[in-house]
Amino acid sequence: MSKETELVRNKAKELLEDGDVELVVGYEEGTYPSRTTPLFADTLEKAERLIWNPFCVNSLPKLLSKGHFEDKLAVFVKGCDSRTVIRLLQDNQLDRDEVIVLGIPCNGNVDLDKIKDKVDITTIIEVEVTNNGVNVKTEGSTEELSREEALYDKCLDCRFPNPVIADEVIGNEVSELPKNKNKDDEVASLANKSVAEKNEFWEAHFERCLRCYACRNACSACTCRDCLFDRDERSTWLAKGKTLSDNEAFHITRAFHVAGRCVDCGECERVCPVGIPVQKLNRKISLDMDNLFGIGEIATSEDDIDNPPPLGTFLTEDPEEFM
Amino acid sequence: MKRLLEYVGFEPERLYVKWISGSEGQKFADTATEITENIKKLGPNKKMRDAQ
Amino acid sequence: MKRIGVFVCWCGSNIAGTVDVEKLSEEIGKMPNVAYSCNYKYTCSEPGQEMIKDAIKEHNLNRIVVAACSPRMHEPTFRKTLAGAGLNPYLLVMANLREQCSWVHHDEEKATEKSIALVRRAVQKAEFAVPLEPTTDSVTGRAMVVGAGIAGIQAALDLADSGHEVVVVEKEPTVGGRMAQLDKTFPTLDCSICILAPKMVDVSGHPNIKLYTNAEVDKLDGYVGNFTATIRKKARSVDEEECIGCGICWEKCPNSVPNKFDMGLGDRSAIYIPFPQAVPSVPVIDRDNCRYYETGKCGICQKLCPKDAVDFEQEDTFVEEEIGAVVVATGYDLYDPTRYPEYNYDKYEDIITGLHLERIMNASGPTDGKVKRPSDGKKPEHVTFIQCVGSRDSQKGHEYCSGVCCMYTAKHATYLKEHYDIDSSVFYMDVRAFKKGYEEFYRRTTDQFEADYLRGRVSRVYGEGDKLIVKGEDSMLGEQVTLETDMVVLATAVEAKPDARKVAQTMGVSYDESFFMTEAHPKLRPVETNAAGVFLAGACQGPKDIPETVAQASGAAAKAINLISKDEIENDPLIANCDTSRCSGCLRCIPVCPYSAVTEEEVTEWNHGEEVTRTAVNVNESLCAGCGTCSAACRSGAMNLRGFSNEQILAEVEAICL
Repeated sequence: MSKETELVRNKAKELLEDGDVELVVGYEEGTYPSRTTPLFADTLEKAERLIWNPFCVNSLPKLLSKGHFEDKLAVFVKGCDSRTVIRLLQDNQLDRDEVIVLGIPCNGNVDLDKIKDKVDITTIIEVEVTNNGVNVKTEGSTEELSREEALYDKCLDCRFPNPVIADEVIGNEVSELPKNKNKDDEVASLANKSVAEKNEFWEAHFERCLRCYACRNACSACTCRDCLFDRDERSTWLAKGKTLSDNEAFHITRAFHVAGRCVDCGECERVCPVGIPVQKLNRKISLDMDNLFGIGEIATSEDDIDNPPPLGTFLTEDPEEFM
Repeated sequence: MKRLLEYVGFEPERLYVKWISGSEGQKFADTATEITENIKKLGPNKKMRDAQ
Repeated sequence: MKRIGVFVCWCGSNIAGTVDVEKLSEEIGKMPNVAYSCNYKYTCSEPGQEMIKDAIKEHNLNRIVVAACSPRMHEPTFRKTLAGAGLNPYLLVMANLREQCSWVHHDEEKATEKSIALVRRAVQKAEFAVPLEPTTDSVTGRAMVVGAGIAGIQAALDLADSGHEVVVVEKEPTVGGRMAQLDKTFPTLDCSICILAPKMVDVSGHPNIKLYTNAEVDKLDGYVGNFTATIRKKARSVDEEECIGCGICWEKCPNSVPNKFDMGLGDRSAIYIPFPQAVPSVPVIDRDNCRYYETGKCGICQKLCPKDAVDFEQEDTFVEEEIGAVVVATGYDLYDPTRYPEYNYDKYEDIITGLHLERIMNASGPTDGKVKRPSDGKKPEHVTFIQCVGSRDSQKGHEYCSGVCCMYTAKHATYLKEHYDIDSSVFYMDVRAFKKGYEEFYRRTTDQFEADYLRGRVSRVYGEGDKLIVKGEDSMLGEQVTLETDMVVLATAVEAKPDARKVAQTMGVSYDESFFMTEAHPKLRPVETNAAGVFLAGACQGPKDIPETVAQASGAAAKAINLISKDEIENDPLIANCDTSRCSGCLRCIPVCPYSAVTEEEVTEWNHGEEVTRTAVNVNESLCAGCGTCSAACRSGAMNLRGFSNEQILAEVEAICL
């Protein structure tokens, strides 16, 4: 059992025993050790099944919603998940006093799809992620992979390995991560391409969209009780069917609804079954918002909770290109 | 919005955002004329044509 | 699908002259949800409206489209028609084929094509229209008048006489405004203060009027029928209840300051009343020019006051008043002629404005009514008037005409000749004398009183010795003229007061580029504003003379009486509404509402077998003005605008574009 797993189990049992919380939300093993699945542990027995390893990637805070719990609950969050917590607090989808945030510093999660050609993922025993690379130990062998080869794309450009909001931090702080990828440069270079090139790039992706809405379901910012896209066609700008145009309209509209609120958790891109670079779309807007309004990265500390939403605020210094 | 549409492959001139007060009739007319001329130069829009 | 009836109006030849109305009603009739489509010459007429009612019954119509003029013209008319036929009046949608089509286009074929698109849009909007019911609100049966010049005074008296309580707030220490400064008024040459003073006294004594002088309205909260005004009573440094107006204090005050009321031509003391007939007759201390406030010494007024009414420690106090309607009557200011350096207004004391001359001629003015030159006190033999200083000038000053200067100059010229035997010359562009008795008065000025009217502009005024030289043009003779004169009077433009913008913003009233407050409609609604419950009277709305001011003040009072006499008012049901079952409580709509009409609200519901409470929002139906900003900000569409719902707008866009 890894050190983190032990810490996680002990903390959960402690909170449940003391009666501080009625539920601890974490991860447990799935069909095999490298598969993880969320666990809602409300008893000490269930708490014993909690784990923590570089495969614990699903964002847990998104699974919580208001008004269902009488007592408090605790949730384990990585850096990206902690920004999700702030996002939910700002959108009034969580009450700060009903959740205990247990932060765990993380230096990257392993993407099974990326390594499945190099190792037998069903027999993975242990994985170690460091700044220099990723060590994957299976029953038969040990593989040394680079971070680019093994980790999720979203982890290669992680700027918040340590949770930005936490009632307690478990495990050691991550001092600094290498920059294996530069999303912002990629977005900028795509934006600089010609109209035809951009068109080609995005249409190739949007054509494959299944309109499964996984990106929306996983998104930290998408918390509408009755999402626009679930309503009948009279109330929306797009039809239900999967045409290129309606797919494009869906992505553009969702990006715009999330505009100014995206915490760059990357879940949208991770969950997409057909590999659409959704995060690249949302990131473009975040960069534009910074260029226009100078707001920088949002949701990076507990103090940000009371900040007004950038697109819901008017300041006289705002740029006025429309005059 | 303009920047986003440009990013996904629309020509930037296809979206006009302009602040015109209800009492600025001339500005409205001039803007409409300008947009019409520019759009005619761009030609028909090929993107998102089969939206239902 | 609904059964929509479409009525295309010819509007005589207004629409039918450009649009092929037969083709239009035929094309629209082909739409699947149109159960009946026809065209008619004058749909708004009585037979036209009867025709609509009959069609509704005969064809079982449940939504109506009238394709005619602007809804601003006849939407209320046709709504009543629907109500008369038993249909909810909000099931009507109008298509504007007149102002938005036939009146602005010439190509008949294209205009008809456009009309078809416009009416298709209206049909699709009607498809998604739902019946709406207005809610009601109670009305406070009191009014507030801001400003107590002749406009405010007239409005206040009319309101008070109708049996309603009126709160009057006047910024200056006395009521009276500009009319109190004037000497004689055209065209009757009535003494201004003589006809004004009785009204001033009426205002202070009327049992229904609560008068606050030396006070301003700091804030106006609430909405039509239910306003709350926060009034700042500025410190007079004198106890209004105790003071008996004996005058000892201002007689004995050692300080002397130029009197603003006399246009700086005369002085007053630091503790003063602006003019002898001031109402209330209670002085105020000008703290910036008072020895006690400057040095801590003096205090003579306090020592001598028999009622011990002087209170140096007095501070501004605040009062809240509940009212149902507001009349804004804050008046005007005059243009600063130094902006025409060619007239040298600031270099020579004898170059003055019309209002200065009023004070000079006034018996209670700085010269006891004797016409004297400000420079040497001698009586002028000849006075030159220059018209349109700051008016009718698109380069500098204002483009508009100030309306009163032609008449008051004629009055000055007449009076100077008749009573003082002083000759006048007037440099003018046009003479505007269009009301009852005005033209005749002007004729007498030129014929009987021999005023010399020269049509032309003045290029320069300067001094030579103790005379003034006026260089100008007589365009009728086509010659340049040079006059030697003793005094020059500039007819300066009427303009909005420097704080007009702030007052307008406090009252929620819009203003134009000259900062005159804007009426709801220049012809049909001249005393109302677009802020429901706020009315306008007098020069704050635009330059006007006394007869027009008094008429407008009574008009504003009538509109206000109309409002506050009701027990309750109907709220326009075209407002925003939150479907709380869809609302996720993100609260994005609250900060964007310009009327602060959206508030957090808890809702309780069943969820997985237990009762849970969560946050949603609620729209205040009286405050909401139906702007739609919250509906645009709502990502999920939980917030929707009645009468302009998301469904309707999308249907309209589809009808026109796809």
